[in-house]
Amino acid sequence: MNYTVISLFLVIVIATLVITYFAAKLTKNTNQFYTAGGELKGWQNGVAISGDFMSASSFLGIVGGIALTGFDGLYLLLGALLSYLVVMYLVAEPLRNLGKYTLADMITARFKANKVRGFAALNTVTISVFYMVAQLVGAGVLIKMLIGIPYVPSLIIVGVLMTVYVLFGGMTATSWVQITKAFLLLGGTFVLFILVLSKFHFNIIDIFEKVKSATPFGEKYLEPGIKNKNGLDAISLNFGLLLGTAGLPHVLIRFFTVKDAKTARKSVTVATWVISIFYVMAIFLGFGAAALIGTDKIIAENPAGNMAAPALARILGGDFLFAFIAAVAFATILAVVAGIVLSGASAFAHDFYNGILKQGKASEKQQLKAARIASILVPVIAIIISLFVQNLNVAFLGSLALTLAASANLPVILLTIYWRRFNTAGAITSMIVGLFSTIIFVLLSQNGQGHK
Amino acid sequence: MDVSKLITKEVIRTMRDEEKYEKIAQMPGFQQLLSKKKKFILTSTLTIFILFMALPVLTSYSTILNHSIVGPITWAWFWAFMLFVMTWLFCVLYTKKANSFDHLSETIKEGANKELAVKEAKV
Repeated sequence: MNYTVISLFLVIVIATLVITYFAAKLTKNTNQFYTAGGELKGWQNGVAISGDFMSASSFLGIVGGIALTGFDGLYLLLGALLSYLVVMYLVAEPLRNLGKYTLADMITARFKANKVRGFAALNTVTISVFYMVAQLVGAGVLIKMLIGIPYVPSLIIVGVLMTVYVLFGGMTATSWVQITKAFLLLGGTFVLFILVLSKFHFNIIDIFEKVKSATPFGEKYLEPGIKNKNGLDAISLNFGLLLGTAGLPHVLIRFFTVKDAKTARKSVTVATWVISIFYVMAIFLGFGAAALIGTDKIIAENPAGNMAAPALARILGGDFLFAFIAAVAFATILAVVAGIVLSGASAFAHDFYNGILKQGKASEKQQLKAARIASILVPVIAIIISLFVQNLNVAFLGSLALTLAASANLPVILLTIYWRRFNTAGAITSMIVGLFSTIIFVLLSQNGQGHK
Repeated sequence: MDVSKLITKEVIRTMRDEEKYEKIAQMPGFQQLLSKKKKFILTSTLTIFILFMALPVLTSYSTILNHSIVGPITWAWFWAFMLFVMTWLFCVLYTKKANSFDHLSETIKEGANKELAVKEAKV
């Protein structure tokens, strides 16, 4: 057992609980629960969006992906980066203007039909559950690797913490946990980035020169094609990443936490800057891991390369930096899953319960109670599923969620905003076709059949 | 009311504030503002899409980007880093444009309010 790691994990847990304690005092009605009262400043929401979006699997996966597959690792991040321009140009401002608490609000602002609300909420819940299971299974594996707590207890710890944040602190706690985590992640990445550069005398060309001879791929390391052998692999991956973010419910509900479209614009601008700076640094961490640790050792610790970033921290800064990066990864898990719990819970309580079951006439007290019950229900469902799928290859669950977001959510969002002749039947068709075609295609694909 | 709200309302005619909206929609600058904004969004989105998707298409089906620019850095890497620069540029451009659209819609709105006030005074 590594005591530095454990004490830093405890610091994170205590800090987030303190945030939740203060947030709970500000969470007295549904508006505060779902949107933090709509009072976040543009930069706060921007940092929170980036904290919501940069998951542990993406942080560790991108560094590992670049370390192990060179240029092809870039395709894990470029689409995600550009997807923020899609959010900025096409979605953020109209979404803020039309929606109240959930994505379904935005679509039903135009098509006032319970069916529309029902299918929109169904898509949100489906995407949230898939995404949460992917994050939870990843978290269980990760915590086991980092501090040696077995899978099931890790899952329970993460599950209880995320439920506590959302249950008591609602959107306020979720936002501030995400903001704190974003600063920790940026800070940790920046320290590693500077340490890597210093090993190469701050000479970028020198780094490229070194990685050319550092891996078993030799010169091929810097060329595309190590991972994506088939041309369509790279194209469809990039296409999915580009369009996925703008349909992810837990990212979209963040735009309801600011007061108007102008502030929503500011938020997405800040988020884009934060995420792009993080990605630039992550590329060099991947190079650093390839050159300083070596492909064999990275694969020996974890075949997917997920330990590349922590291992790099150990080489460059000793046990303390390792512990710090491990704790940052832990904070990252907590912040992301909290956001997903909230998006799933709001679809259950606001759309299914209040919108459809009560025809929008539930009292303030009933609504808040429903929101709190839902924020226990959603994590319980996700944790139960996660217990059964721990031995499956769940990497595809995350991409399934993103594909669902791109095909079941984004079309209906864009058409609702921009197509004058779009109608109720069209909205419902687009959501159903997007949902089922994605699930059927994934089941028919290699991943769905259990191949790696 | 800012411009994106006006545009949204242009599409969604069932919303509240109908009379005022109709008034504003008939103002001389309004339709130009709408088409200006739509044109800006469309051309930007297409440019972003093409510049981005061209990279995986080229790296998947040709080796043209594997030539070196400076020492070990190839055109493929250069393109990837240029996509970062492009993101920053489009970020700044959007903010600038959106602010100028806001300003325009503010002027139109004031005009509409004045006209409404004049009419009410006559009645």
